[in-house]
Parts: sequence; C-alpha cells; structure tokens
Amino acid sequence: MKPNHHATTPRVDDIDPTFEPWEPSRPIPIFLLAVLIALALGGVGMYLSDLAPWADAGASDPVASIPAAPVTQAAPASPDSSTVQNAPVLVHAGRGSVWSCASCHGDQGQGAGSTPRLAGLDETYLAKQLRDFAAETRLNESMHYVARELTDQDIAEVAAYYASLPVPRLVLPQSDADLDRGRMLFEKGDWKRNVPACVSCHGDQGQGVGTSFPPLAAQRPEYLFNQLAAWKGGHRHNSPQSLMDDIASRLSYRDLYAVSNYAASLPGPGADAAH
Amino acid sequence: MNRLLPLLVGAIGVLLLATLMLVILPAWQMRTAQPPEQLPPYTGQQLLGRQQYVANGCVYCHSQQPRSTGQTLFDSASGWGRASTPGDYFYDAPHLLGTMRTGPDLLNIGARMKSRDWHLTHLYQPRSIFDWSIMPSYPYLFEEKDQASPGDVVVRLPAQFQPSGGRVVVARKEVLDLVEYLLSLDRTYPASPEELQKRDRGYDQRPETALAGHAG
Repeated sequence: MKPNHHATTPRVDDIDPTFEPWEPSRPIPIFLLAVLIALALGGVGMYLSDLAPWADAGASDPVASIPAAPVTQAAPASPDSSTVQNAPVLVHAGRGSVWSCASCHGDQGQGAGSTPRLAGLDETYLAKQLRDFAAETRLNESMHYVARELTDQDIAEVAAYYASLPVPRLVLPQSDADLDRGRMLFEKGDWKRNVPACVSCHGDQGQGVGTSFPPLAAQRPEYLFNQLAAWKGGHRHNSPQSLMDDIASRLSYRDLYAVSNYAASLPGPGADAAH
Repeated sequence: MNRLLPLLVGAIGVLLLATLMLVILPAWQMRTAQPPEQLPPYTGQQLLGRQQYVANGCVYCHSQQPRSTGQTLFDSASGWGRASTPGDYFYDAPHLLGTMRTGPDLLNIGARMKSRDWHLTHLYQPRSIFDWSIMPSYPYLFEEKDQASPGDVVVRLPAQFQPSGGRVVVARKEVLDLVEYLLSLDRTYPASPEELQKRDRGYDQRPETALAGHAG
C-alpha cells in the first residue's frame, strides 16, 4: 500500500479495507523459527533409517536359525481305509441338523487350531465330554448343538471310533511361549503356588492316564491354552473334584500359555522313531 | 491470515506433506516387500467370496488383526492365531483389518473352523447355534426349495429353524463363495523374522530379543 506523499492524513478511499492499521507488526522471532526447523529436521532424521528398503533374505540372520517353537511338519498319515469304512456315519457325513465330526475335527481326528484332536483320546473320556456338552455342564454352543442330538448309542460309537484312531503328528503354530518355563511346569510343577506337575496325572510323556486324564501331548496348543484359560476364568467347570479349576487358577496366563505350548510339542505315543 | 494465496499455498502444502508422510513414503518403504512363501494368492472363488464379505459389511463387526502376545494373551487364548504381519495382507486389496470386535477376529477362522456346513448354518441363522448372538442372519444368501436338486448344498438346521412343510434351505452361490473365502483365511504359518521386524514396536520386542530369552 503506497503512502500518499501529498496528504497529511490517509484518504479513506486509499485505505485497503482488509488492513488493520493498529495491528502491530510482529515478525516471528528468527530464533523460534530456527528451533522449529531444527526439531522438524531432527524428527525426520530419527526415522530416516526406517526408510531403507526391506532387504529380503541374503544376509545371514542369527535369529532365523533359532526356531521359535518346535514346528513338526506332519506328513499326515492317510487313514487306514478300514477305519474310514468302519466309521460311524456321523463322523464323515453327519446327520440331520448335525454337522459331521470330521468337518471340524479333521478327517483323521487331528483337530484344527483351537478345535481339539480327538484321535487317540480315551473312549470313556470322550463319552463323558459329549454327555457334558449335551447337558451343558461343559459349555460350548457348537458342541451342545451337536451333542444334544446324539443318542447314547451314537455317543458310544463315536467315542469308540475316535479312541481307535492313531495319534497324528501335529503341525504346530509358531509361538513365543517360554518353553523352558512350560517344561518346568509340566515336569516339576510350581510348588510355591501349590501346582503339581502335569506329569503326575497326565502321564510321564503327557500321553494321558486312564479315563479321566486326557493326553496333553500332541494336542492342539491353542485348544490346551483355551481350556486352561476357561478353567481359570470359571467358564469350564466339569473337572472331577475341581482339580483343573484349582490348578489353572493358581497359574498366571503367561504360565498357562507356556505349558500349553510345551505340552503340545511333545510327540504322541507311537510317533515315528525315524523323526 | 488474511492473504488468500499464502493461505491456500500453506493449506495445500500441509496436505501434500501429510500425503508424503502417510502415503508416499510408506508405500516406498514397502516396495520391496515379498509375499510370504506359505501364503497362496486367492482363487477366483475366494475373491468372489471376499467381495461378498465386503458387500455384507462383515468388516464392521469383525476384525482381521489378532494382537500380539506382547500386548495381551487374550487373542491367543481365544484361538485367534498369532499376531499378523504386513505380509499376511499381501493379497488383501482392500484390506479388511476392521476395527470392531462385536464378533471374533476372523483372520484365522479357516484354521480353527474348517466346517463348511457349520458356516452355512451359522450364516443362515447365527441364533440357531448361539442363542445370545446379535449377529444378523443372512437368509437372502440362501433360498428355500420344496426339495433339493442334485448338486444343491442343503443347509443343516435344527427343527425349529427349518422352514415349514418339509421345505429345505439351499445355499446360493454367493454364500458358497463367501464360505470358501472364510475357509481360506489361515495365516497360522510361521512369520519370518523379517516380517516380525515390520511389526509395531509399541508392544512387541524385536524378534532377536524375544527369541534370545527362550533359547534352549
């Protein structure tokens, strides 16, 4: 806005209507600007190394050679044709409103993720769990849906069938569970917390004992952790004498995670000696 | 703040800066990313199913991003699988990470619920299995018929959810595609250390630290 040299006061029509004449001019101090720019550059500099492209493979990675968890690559044993032919109809075909057992638990009863392995579990144990599902003493909506439609004969047949199947080798998921702690709990327990060793009831290889103590070895780790958490939280409460309720409640979730992944990594009975 | 041109230039500059920092640089950073070897691309049917997943708004209630054990053991205890890495979503365009867990996380649903028939029953009427469920039912993905034709997939339903008069519920192609997609959701293969390095440092330890603590 050029000043009018020939007038002592500015003329109204020369004044820029958006200019506030009384607003003092306040330049941003150079120092403040310098500080802001320095901070911005410093911030960018901190993350500059993140912009390097991800170099895939090539460099020897000491981390890559340490397995995070034992991953057993299963060549799943193809089921004996006679076991498939003799299977109850429910197992592979379902009936009425009931989905086939194998559709969730796998063609060889090996389970999937948090769906448990049934192959090789004790017949009486399986039958008890099915009855508990039907009566909702054990809570699982999908299993209740199935079990409530089963007759006593269905339960007996299906339990006997799965008990007769060989224990498959599982493909285990990666986990960062502390397997050393899991092994300690499994083999020795934690008597500071009144927690007995798993082997004292479930067998020295976790293979299960009798009709009340199911195998833990080669069982899905997600399932084991899920059930231990269910006992700890009170969601599951069909353990005889509340044994598992008490044991699970005395362990931290981190410990339950550790022992689940350790137990699952153990080979089931009859695992190939060659491996 | 009363001069239009500098104002506009500044505003556009801020937007460009945001685009640079949030879009261009991250894309440049990920340009050499390779898909994990164990992750196959989606088949055509699975992609159609994925479109059904998007069209029916599943992402509004279901996430596809299990949290790491460094943050919480809850996701692991629910059987939702390991924490996901960027490579897991390599073929997911658009990604369906989701932000809500009205229902469970689904990134590994195909690893823990492999039964097509269960999914068909559940999609037709969730309350036929979970009477407390608030998930909507999707009857329009199915059709009722007087009797099934050869090749039809009949949905298993409890008696009180069956249509009257002996009619059967048959799955349409849309829901069969959708279930194919759900069954393909399995990211339980181990994540490589390079992939683990890409995870947010906020909750996770660096892989070498995490693994070193448990070395036998």
